[in-house]
Amino acid sequence: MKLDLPRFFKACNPNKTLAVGNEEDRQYYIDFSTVRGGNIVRDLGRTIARLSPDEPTCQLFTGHIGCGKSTELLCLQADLESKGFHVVYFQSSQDLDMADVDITDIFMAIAHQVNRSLESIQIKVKPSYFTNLFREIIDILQTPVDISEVGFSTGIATLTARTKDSPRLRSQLRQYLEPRANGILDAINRELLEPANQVLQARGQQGLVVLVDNLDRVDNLLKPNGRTQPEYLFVDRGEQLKRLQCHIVYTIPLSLVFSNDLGRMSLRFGLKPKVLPMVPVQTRQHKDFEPGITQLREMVMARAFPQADVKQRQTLVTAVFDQSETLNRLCRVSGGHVRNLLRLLYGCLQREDPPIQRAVLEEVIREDRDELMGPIAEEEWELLLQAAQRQSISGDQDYQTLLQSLLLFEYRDQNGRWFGINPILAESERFKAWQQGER
Amino acid sequence: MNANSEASVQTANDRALKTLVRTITLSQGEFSLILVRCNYLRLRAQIQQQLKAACPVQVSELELSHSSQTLYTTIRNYLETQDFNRQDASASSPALPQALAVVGLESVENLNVVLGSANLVRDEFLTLPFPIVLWVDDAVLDRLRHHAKDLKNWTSVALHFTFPPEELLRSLRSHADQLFDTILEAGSDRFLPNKLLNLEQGSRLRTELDFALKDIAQSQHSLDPELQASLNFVRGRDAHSRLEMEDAQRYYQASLTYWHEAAQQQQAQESALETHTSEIAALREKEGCLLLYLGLWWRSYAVLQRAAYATACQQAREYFEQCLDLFRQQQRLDLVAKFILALAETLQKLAQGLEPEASEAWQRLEAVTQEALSLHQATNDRVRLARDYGFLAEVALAKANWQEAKQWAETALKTLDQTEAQEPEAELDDSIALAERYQRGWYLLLLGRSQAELGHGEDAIALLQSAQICSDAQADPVLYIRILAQLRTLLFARGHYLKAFHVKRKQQVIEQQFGFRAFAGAGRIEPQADLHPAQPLPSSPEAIVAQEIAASGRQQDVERLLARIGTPRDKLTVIHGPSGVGKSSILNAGLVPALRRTTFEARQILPIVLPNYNSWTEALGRAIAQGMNAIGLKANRLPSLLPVPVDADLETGSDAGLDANLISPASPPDLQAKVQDLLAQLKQNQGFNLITTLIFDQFEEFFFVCPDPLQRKPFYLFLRDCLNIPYVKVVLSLREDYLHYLLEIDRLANLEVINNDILGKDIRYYLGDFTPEDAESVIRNLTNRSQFYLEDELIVALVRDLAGELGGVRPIELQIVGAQLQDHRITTLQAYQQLGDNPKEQLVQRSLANVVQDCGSPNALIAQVVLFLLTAEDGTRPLKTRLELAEELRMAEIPFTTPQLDLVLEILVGSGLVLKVLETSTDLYQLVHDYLVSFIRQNSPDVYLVED
Repeated sequence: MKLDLPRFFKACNPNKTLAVGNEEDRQYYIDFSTVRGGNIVRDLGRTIARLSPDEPTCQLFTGHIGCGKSTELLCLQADLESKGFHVVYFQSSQDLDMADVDITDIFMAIAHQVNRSLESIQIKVKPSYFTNLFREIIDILQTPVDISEVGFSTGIATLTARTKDSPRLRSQLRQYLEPRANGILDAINRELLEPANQVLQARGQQGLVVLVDNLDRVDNLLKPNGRTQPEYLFVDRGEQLKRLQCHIVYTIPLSLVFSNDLGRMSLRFGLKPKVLPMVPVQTRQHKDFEPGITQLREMVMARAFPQADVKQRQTLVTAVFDQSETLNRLCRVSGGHVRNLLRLLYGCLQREDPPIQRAVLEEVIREDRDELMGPIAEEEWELLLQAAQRQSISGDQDYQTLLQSLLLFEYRDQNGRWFGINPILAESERFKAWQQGER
Repeated sequence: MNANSEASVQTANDRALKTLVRTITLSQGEFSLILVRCNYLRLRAQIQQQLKAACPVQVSELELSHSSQTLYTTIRNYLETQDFNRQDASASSPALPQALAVVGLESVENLNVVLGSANLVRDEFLTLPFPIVLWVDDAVLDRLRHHAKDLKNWTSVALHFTFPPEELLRSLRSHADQLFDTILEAGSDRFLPNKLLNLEQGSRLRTELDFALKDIAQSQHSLDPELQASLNFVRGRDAHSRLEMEDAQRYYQASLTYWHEAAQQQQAQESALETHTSEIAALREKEGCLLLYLGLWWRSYAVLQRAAYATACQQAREYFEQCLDLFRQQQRLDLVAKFILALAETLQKLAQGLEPEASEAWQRLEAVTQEALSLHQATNDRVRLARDYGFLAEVALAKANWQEAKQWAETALKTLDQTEAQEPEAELDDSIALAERYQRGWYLLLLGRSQAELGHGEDAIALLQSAQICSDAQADPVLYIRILAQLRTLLFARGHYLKAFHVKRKQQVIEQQFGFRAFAGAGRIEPQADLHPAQPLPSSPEAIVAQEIAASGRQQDVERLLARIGTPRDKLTVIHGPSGVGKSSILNAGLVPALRRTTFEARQILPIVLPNYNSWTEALGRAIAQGMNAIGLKANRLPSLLPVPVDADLETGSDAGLDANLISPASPPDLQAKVQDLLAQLKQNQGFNLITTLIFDQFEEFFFVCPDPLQRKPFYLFLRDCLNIPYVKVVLSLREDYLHYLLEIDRLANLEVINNDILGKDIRYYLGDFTPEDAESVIRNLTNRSQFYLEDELIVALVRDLAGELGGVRPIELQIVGAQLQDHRITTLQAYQQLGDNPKEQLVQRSLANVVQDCGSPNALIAQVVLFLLTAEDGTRPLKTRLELAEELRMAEIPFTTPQLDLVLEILVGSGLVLKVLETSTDLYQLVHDYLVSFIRQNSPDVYLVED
């Protein structure tokens, strides 16, 4: 079997996200759940279905960029539906502009999506509060929005669609909606969620579950009160987010887990956020973790030879790399961060045709290290070295930057979570010197 | 080593170029984001040339402008306007480039926003079927990492181009030499701001210098000590201009040490070898520069630490003397001429200070000025000559040689005039502009003083008035205050009481704004002025807020209130607290200036303050029109409120003209129409991208002015409608004992938007008295920053007296008493206790007496009685018209003329003790705080207790 270089090159572009609906992409898809410690999704589902089927629950879910949160939520949806729940999964980025989100935007998006989903199973509600609200909004918005003689569902659909693309309109609308946030929340509960739950139960179904995906993408911009948008939404106003009368899971930015506000936020929501970890390539004791490496090798080879089966692919490694060990090296040095691995692989392909020589890989690694190390400040090094030594971090704001800058990775095993320094940094002179000193 | 590293950098650059070409070629027809890292514009241009030659695919180039707001849309727009000259482009689909290079990110002003939004819409990029090469420097790369993490993660390792370290070192050296040359050329007349040297933070030159230093450090090369010393000088100047004084001194000192030792060594070497090179001269020049800057450092220090003023000036003097000695030794009289005035200026400051240093300084000043004079005559440096004459005039004044002083001052002015007449253009422009800004007013002051001493009082007044016009408080507040003080004395002595009073007020305001005065007195605190440009401060929001507000522990309140204005949820804010707690001050000197310079959601904030409620619709209309006028907008939805066309006046920005036009509305339209106009205007303001913030200050007045609930209802309905208009914020500020009145608003108007809960905890904002601890720290903060030191024991005793039995310190009382302490220079506990049994009361009484005194002795009695008439027995402050006051004066048989009463009223209002409530029909007067009533009634002679 011959390697199709242009296709392989494109498949390795780090900007590529796999669409499971796409047949070619499905060939590239690897399920990592077996090697990631703990079953986060099972916990989320258990809380809803087993612990509290009747009382509304509100849970928070997060994970590193590109670690597969959406996929996991879709699994959760399937699981809960099989247990009789009516599940509304939606990607909030479709309704919201992540650079600029306020609490009523989230409420309106949820109301919109829940209503749309209910209509698809022939549950129609008539929220009179919103009919009045829309009438007044028409007066307020100076640009004509044609929602005059339409009902709730088209009204809210038009509104969310129109405001997503127009920051101006959204800001105007917010002037009207924000002071009324409590009124809107009550109306959603009273006129949408409660009737829906009643009808569902009358049909012999379990209750309503809403999975709000992509809310982790809200921007870290500062709000006028000096708080970042995530802090403002999930900490300062978490109280209101929690008051919706149905089961709900919000994806939240990972940064909140490492912020000083974690405690306050957990208090508001009554529980801690659940975090999805990386693919482990080594153990706490710095030994290779073979199952993780095997999965990553499989991922690389699937992109090179999508048609081939697992066995064939093993024999084809030398068509892509000068030797099998070069591939192992790539997997280890990626730290189990899938996109990181692709970035390095792509860097090699940018330089030379395959089979990729070990020397070329080392050159790419070296340059990536230079780039990564350039902006690390002295204090950050101190934190990094401490974290690497203790394999844990405190709730300090500074650690958040380390994780977000991919200097530090988070893993999970049977003993819980632990932290490791990005393997690329671990090979730096600076780190080695420190290690020498430690021993 | 040299050749080696140059060659290896070249190899690495070649390899990166090859990879770039290969990636572009392999990515044809697909989106791919390629990061190219390059810190130097010159290198980037070279590489782009090479790429053009080497790449088989044509790479189009898009340069972002500094005002770019987005990346994706800019690319889209670019695609639509370009013809990429591709044969395969069909008519229906727009032509596309084969590859696109995007440059200029480093110059984008709103880079974080651009990157942030690019990150959010990153999925859109996938629709662009060609590779994009993004040129970044290390600073942009860092921001990319923070603000566009996901987008950054879409790219592989950045391709890196760099200069060899040798090249970087060469260019650093040439920049350092240039810097010293510019400074030597400019002389000692001022601290050359980085901006003039293209070295300000963020400038391209500056950024590339920083990159070069980093790149050199990473290449394991090191800077030679000379380069290090130049760099320390640059860093010292940076720290100095940021007022990070300790750092600045350390850098300057390190740099000076190097130049000095290097020069010594060179000298030793040369005398051993009996050679002579130009090396020494170059080293000594730099040593001289550092001596000058250390002198300037001490001058800045003197201004910042007023308590150490004299000693710091003495230090500055030492450095300037050393600097001049050095140049004299080097026979560089050209440089002595350029640098000598820094010494003269400092000597003058010392001479005007305390003995015994003063007389010695006068002598030295005279000698230095004589030297300067002969040097500047030799070079015919007229602008500096004029200053020499100015110093001679100062010396003459000090010796009471009035006639001589007059002649020198006249010569200074004449010299400046001649210079301007003779050399209207050329390179002198800058120094003439400086002379106009800093020195003409000084010469006029000197001349005015001589004339006054020579008995020509009216001439002197005229001269000082033009001195005031010529000078700029911003540029030289010390000079400006000196002019005002002199002018005030002359005016008062000649019986121009009102003019004298206005000048005095002006002086107080300037003193407060520039931090010479610790306490503001009874009036409300005015917004703080920007500091002297020679001591630039970073312009952060905190810097906008008046020092007294910032120092008074109210900074946090300002920030919280500001955040409320920016948060859509908080439509209404009710500020409440006791009388004199500083509600009006925090609004006017804290919140309003901060609002004026803040934007939320790219909207400008239009703060409209209404301090009184007679004809509130007119007053509000007027305030809105004026507020909009000030930012270049026109309020044209207020026909019933602004009946006379006001365009002409709006154009000239004359408030007086505007007021005059507003005084007589053509016909009084009904209230309903006025309210509708106001609402229409507020609605229209959304379209101007404004957030109109209506601030109703002293809102308790409203209940006096409109005692009948029926009268109040229209306002409540207006309030309700305001709360329903987007981008309108409402702040009500009132005394806490009137808070319950607000409950009727809920009753009379349905405030659905705030859940009919006007006193809800999300709406109220409480301002209280200072705790004694706060008050102590406030006093320390305020006095530390000005030249006014209070003994610790005094502060403790003062706060105890101020706190009284209730244990809270009322801010207004603190300001009044503090201002008196400062005016009478009472700085010790002993002096304070000598005031009498109740020193605090004494001071408040003195403050009242001062204002009465300002009215001039012929008017003092009228002033006293008017103050009394503005109090009532029950401790309240009645509102009275001018006519009522005149009538009551007559009844009390106090003789007065109309101009006298006018003068008294104007001074009382100007002093901040009395408030003039502006009406379209008539003016009302009212005492400013309840707090003053008891003091006034307490001390009033029985003669005019006629009302009982």
